[in-house]
Amino acid sequence: MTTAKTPTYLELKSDNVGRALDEAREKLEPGDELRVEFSRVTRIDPCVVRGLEALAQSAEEKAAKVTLRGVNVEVYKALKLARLASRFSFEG
Amino acid sequence: MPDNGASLSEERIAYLEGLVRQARTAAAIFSQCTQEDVDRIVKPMVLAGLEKAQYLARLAIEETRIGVLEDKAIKNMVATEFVYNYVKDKPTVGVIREYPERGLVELAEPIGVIFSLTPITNPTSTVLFKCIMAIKTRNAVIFSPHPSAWRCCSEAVKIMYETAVKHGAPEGVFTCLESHTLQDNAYLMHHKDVGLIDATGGPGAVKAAYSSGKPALGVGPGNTPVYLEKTADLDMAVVDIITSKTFDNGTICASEQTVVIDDEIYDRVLKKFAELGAHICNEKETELLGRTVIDPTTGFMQPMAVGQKAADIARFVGMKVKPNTKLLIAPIKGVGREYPLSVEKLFPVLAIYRAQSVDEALKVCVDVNHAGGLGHTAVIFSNNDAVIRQFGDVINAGRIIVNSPGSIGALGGVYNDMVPTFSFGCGTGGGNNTTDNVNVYHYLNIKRMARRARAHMWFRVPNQIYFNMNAVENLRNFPSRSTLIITNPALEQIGHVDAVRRCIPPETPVRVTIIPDAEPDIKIVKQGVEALHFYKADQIIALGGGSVIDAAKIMKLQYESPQADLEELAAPFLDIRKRVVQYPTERVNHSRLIAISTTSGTGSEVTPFAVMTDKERGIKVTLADYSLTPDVAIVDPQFVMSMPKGLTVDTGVDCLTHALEAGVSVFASPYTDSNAMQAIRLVFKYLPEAYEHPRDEEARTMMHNAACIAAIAFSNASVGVNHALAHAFGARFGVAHGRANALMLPHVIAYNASVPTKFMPSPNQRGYIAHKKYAMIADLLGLGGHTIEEKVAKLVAATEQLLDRLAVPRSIAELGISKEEFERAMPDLAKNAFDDPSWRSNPRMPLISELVELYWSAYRGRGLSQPKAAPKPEKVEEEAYV
Repeated sequence: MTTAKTPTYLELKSDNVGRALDEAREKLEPGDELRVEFSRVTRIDPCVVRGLEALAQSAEEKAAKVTLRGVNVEVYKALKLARLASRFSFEG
Repeated sequence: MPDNGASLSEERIAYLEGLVRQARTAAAIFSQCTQEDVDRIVKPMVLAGLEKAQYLARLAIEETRIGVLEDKAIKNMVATEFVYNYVKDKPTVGVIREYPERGLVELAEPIGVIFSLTPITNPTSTVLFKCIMAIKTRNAVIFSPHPSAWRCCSEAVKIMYETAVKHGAPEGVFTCLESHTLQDNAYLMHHKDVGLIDATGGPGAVKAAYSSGKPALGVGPGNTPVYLEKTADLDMAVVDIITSKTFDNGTICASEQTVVIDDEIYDRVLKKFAELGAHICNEKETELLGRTVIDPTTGFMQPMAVGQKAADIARFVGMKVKPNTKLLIAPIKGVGREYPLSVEKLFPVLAIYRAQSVDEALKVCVDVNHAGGLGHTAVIFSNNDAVIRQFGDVINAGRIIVNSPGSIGALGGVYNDMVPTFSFGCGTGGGNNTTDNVNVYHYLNIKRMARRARAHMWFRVPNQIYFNMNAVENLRNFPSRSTLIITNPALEQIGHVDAVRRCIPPETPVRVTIIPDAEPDIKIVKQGVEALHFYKADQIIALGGGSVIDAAKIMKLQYESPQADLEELAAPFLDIRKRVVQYPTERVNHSRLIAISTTSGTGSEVTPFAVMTDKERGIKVTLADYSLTPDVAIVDPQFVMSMPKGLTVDTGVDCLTHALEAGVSVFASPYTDSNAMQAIRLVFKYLPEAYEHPRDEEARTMMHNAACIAAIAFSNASVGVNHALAHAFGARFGVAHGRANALMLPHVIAYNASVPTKFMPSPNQRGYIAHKKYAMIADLLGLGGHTIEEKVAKLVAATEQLLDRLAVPRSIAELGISKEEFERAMPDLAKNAFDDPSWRSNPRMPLISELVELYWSAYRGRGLSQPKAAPKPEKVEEEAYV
C-alpha cells in the first residue's frame, strides 16, 4: 500500500527562476508531486530552459510529477518550441 | 550522394545534436522577443560588422586567395549598412502588414532553426547578411561555411554572435560547424528540428539542400548575358561593365559573362574597353583561354581561376598582356560547348559577341541565359524602351538590370531600388522556389489573418414598373420612332395586341411580330432580330408570358450587340460578379424594351434571365445578366383576367416557389426578403381566390403583383433546390414547370428546414437560418405554432393545403408515372438536378443521394404535415444576417 504524498509548491519569481529550479530538482524525491507556480514569470531564458530540462530529466528518473501552473501563453509556446512542454503537466 | 549521416560516429552525432538543441532552445526563447527587442540587437550588430569590414575582408583574402581586399571590404559594408537600411524600419515581429479594406492582417512567425551554407566567393559578407536577417526575424542559425573559407566565416559568426548576445539575443542563436564533412551537412539538412536550409554556394550544395526534402532557399550559379545595344550610353556602359566584372575579381555570380554588342557600335566599344585597361584577345588567345580556364571535360570554369586577377590569369595561360590589365575580353562566335567561354566565369574574363541585328542579339542573349543562367541575372544597356521591354520579355532572369552594372546592380540598393541581398533567388529556371533577392521575408512564415468579410450585395430592378389595372396606358409616355410588338398568336386573337396599340402614341409607327407560344428557338430569335433591323426599331414591346418576354430580351441583345455569342454568354458561373464571360457593353443599336406580362408567374418582365432552345444542336441556352432586364415592366391585370385555371395554378405555384426559395436563399438580404415575404403573403391570400373566381379583379391584380414582386426577390437572391429538381423532372417527363415545382415544394421546405448534411457557404448569414426564415414566414401568414419546428411544420401543412385547394397533383405517382419508369429515370434526374445551377443559392447543399430522396418523397407525395407538440415559444426574427 502506498500513501499519496502532499504536493510541494514552488513559487518562481522573475529574478530567481534558474536557481529555484535547480534547488527544486535537488530536493525532488521519488514519487513526489511538485507544483511550480509560473504566473510571475513573463519570459524564459536559456538558463530557465536548462533548469526545466534538468528538472524534467530528474522527474522522469524519479517517477515524480511536475506541474507548471499559471504559465503565460508566450512562455508556453517557447516551451513547445523547445520541446519541453510534453515533459510537464500544466494547470491554469 | 550524402548518406544522411548514417556513417557518422556516435560522437559526431552527439555533437551535431548538441548544435541543433542549442539552436532550438535559442529559437524558442527568441520567439518571446518583441520588435523593439530585435531592433535593439540588430543595430549594434550592423555597427560591429561595419567596424570589422576590412578585418574580415583581409581574413577572407588570406584564407581563400580569392578576390580583391578592397572590394571584399565594400561587400561587408553593403551586407551590413545597406541591408540595415532596408530592414531597419521593416516590421518583422507580430503584425507586419495590414490591409484594413480587405480585412487582412499579416503576422510574422519565425522559422526556428535555419541551417545555412555559405560560399567561398563571398564568405564573410554572406555571413554578416544572414546573421542580420536571422536576428531581425528571431531565428537561430547553424552555419556551415565552405571548408576553404571556414576561418574567416567562423570569425564573422563570432563577431555577430557576441554582439547579438551582448544586446539581448539568446545564447546559442548562432553556431558554426567545426571542420565539417558532407555527411555533417546531410545530417543537419535532414534534421527534424531544422526548419529551413539556406544554401548559398555551388550547384552541389544547392542541389543537396533541395534534395533534402526540407524547405530550402538554394541560390546557385548564373550566366549573365549583357546586351549592349546601339542606343546605349557607351561611355557609361563600358565603365559599368568593367566596374562590375572586375569587382572582387568577378566573384559575384550576377556579374557579366557574355556581352552581345550591336555591329554598329562594336568597334567603338572594343576601343573604349581597351582604352580603359581591358585586353582584347585575338582568335588564338581566345582559343587558348577557353581551353585553359574552362574544364574541357565538364564545360565549367576551372576553380583555380575563380576570383583571380586578369593579369594573373593571362600569365598562367601564357598570354602577354600589360601588367595592369583589368579584364580579358574574348570575342566568341556562338554559345555552347564549342564556345567554352560562353559559360559562367567568376573571374575577369568576359566573352563578347558581335550581333548584326537586334533579333540576333536577343537570340544570343537567350542562348547565354539558357546556358546555365536561367532565373539569375541579365543586363541591358540601351536607351530604346521597346528593346529594353523586349529583352525583359524574352530573358528569364530574376533580376534584369538596366543601364547599370550587373553584379552591384543585382545586389540591390546601390544602383537601383531592389532589395539588398547576398542571395539571388533564381526561380524554377535555377531550381529555386523564388526569383526574389532573398531578404528578411524569406526568413519568416507569414501568417495571414483574414476576417470574415461582408460580401457586397446588390438589388437591381427595372427602371420603371407600372402596375394595377390599365397600367398599360403608361405606354403613352414612351415616344418612339419605330416600335415592334413581339407577341404570340393567341394574345393577338383575344385582342391584347389591340389593347396595347391603343396606348401607343398615334404618331409612332408600330409593327407586330408574332412568334409561337413556346420556349423561343434560335431561329425565332434571328427572325425577330431581322425585323428589328428592318424596321430600325428603337422600342420593343414584349407582350406575353415568360417565353415571349425571354425571346424579346435575346432579340434586343442580338440587335444591339450583334457580336454577342449566345452560347458563350450562357457559360456557367457561380457568382454573377465574378463571372468569366462578360456581356457586351458596346452597342450598335439602342432600343427600349417594355415587357407586358400576360401570366402571373415567371415575372420575366423584371428578371435578368432568358431561356431559349437551339433545336439544331438540341441544347437549351440559359442567359443571365442584369443587362437583359427589361427597361420598363407593365404589370396590368387586364391581360390575365382571362387566364385559364390550369395556367393560373401553374404560374401561381411557380410564383410561390420563387418567393419561398428567394426567402431562404444564401443570397437573401433584407431587400429581397421584403419582396419575398410580401409575395408569399399575397399568394397564400389571393391565389385560391384567383383560381376559384377567375374574374375577381382584386385577386388577379394581387396575384399579378405577387408574381412581379417574387421575381424581383429571386432576380436578386436567386432560387434553390426546388427549381433544380423541377427543371430536371419537368424536362424528363414533360410536366409544366409550375406543376413540377408544386410536386417538390412541401418536401423541399422540410428538407431545407432540417439540419443540413452539408452546409452551403454563406458569408452574409450568421449560422444556419433557413428553418428560422420558414418560421418567420409561418408567423407572417399567422399560422401559429410555438417553436420553430412547429412553425415550419405549419408552413408545410399550409403549403400542402394550398396545393390541395388548387387541385394540383400531389404526387408524381398521381401523374401516371410508374415506379419502375421513375426508378429508371432516377440516375439522369439526379445528375441533371445536380448540374442545374439553381441550387447553388440553396441554403442547404444537396448531396446527390438527397436529391434522390427528395424525388422519391415527391413520388410518394403526402405525409409531411403531421404537427408535433412542443409548446415553448421561440423568437425567430433575430440573427438572420451578419
